[in-house]
Amino acid sequence: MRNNKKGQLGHGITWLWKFLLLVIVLGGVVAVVVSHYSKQLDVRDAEAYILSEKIVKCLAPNGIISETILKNETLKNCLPIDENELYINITMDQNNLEIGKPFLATLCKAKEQKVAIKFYPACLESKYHLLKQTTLESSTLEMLIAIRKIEKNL
Amino acid sequence: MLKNKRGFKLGWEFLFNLVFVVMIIIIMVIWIASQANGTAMRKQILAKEVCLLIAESKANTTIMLEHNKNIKIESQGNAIVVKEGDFDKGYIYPCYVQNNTHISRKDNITIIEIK
Repeated sequence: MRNNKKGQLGHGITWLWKFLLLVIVLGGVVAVVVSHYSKQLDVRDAEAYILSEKIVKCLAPNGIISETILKNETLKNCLPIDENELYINITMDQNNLEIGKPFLATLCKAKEQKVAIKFYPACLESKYHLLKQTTLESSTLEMLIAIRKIEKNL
Repeated sequence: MLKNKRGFKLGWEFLFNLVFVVMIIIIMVIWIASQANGTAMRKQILAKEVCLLIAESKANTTIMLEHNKNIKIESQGNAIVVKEGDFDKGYIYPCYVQNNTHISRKDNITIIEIK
C-alpha cells in the first residue's frame, strides 16, 4: 500500500515534468514564430497626412475659414476621432483647438529631439495658408497630428 | 489476468499520450503554416489599404475592390475587418469609418460607397 502511494507520486511527478517540458518547448516555438511573422506595417505617417488634409478641407472647404469654426464639435463632425489613439492640435491666430491625449505631443517633441523611444507615435506638423471668411485676410493654420496605434503598427 | 490488466492500462496510457502529443503537433503545424504563408500579412495590408482609401475619399465616392472569393471586408464600428474564410476572427484595424460609408459585396468584389 505504501509502495503504491510512492509509485503514484512518482508517476505524477514524471507526468508533470513531461507536461512542463512540452509547455516550455511549445512556448519557445510560439515565441519564435510570433516574433518572426508578426511584423507590422507602419501606415501612420500616411494616415496622419490624410487626416491633416481631410481636417483642413472640412474646416475650410474652399480655402476660406470662419474664425468661429475652431470647436471640438466641428472637428468631431469632420471625422470619427478615437481620443485615446489620436492627438490633434490646431492653432490659428489666437485660437487653439486641442483634442485627444496631450502626452502624445510630448512624445512627438521627444522624438524630434531624437530621444530613443521604443514605442513612439507618428507625428505630422503642417501649415496651411487660408483666407478668413469675414475679412478675406490671409491667415496661417498650424496643425499637429499625433497617432498612437502602436499595437497595430509597430 | 492481472498482468494483462496492467499491460492494457499501460497501452491505453501510451495511446493517450501519443494522441495528445500528435494532436498538439498537428495544431502547431497548422498554426505555423498559417503564419508562414503570408495570410496574416495579406489581411493586415488589405485592412490598412482599405482604411487609408476610406479616410482619403470624398463624399459620393464608390470604391470597388476585386479579391479572392474567401476574403471578406467588413466594418465594425469605426474599424475595418478583413477575414479569410467564415471561421476567421479577422484582422481589425481601427479606422475612420463613418455612418455615411456602406460596404457591400458582390461575388469577389467588395463595393465601398461613401455617401
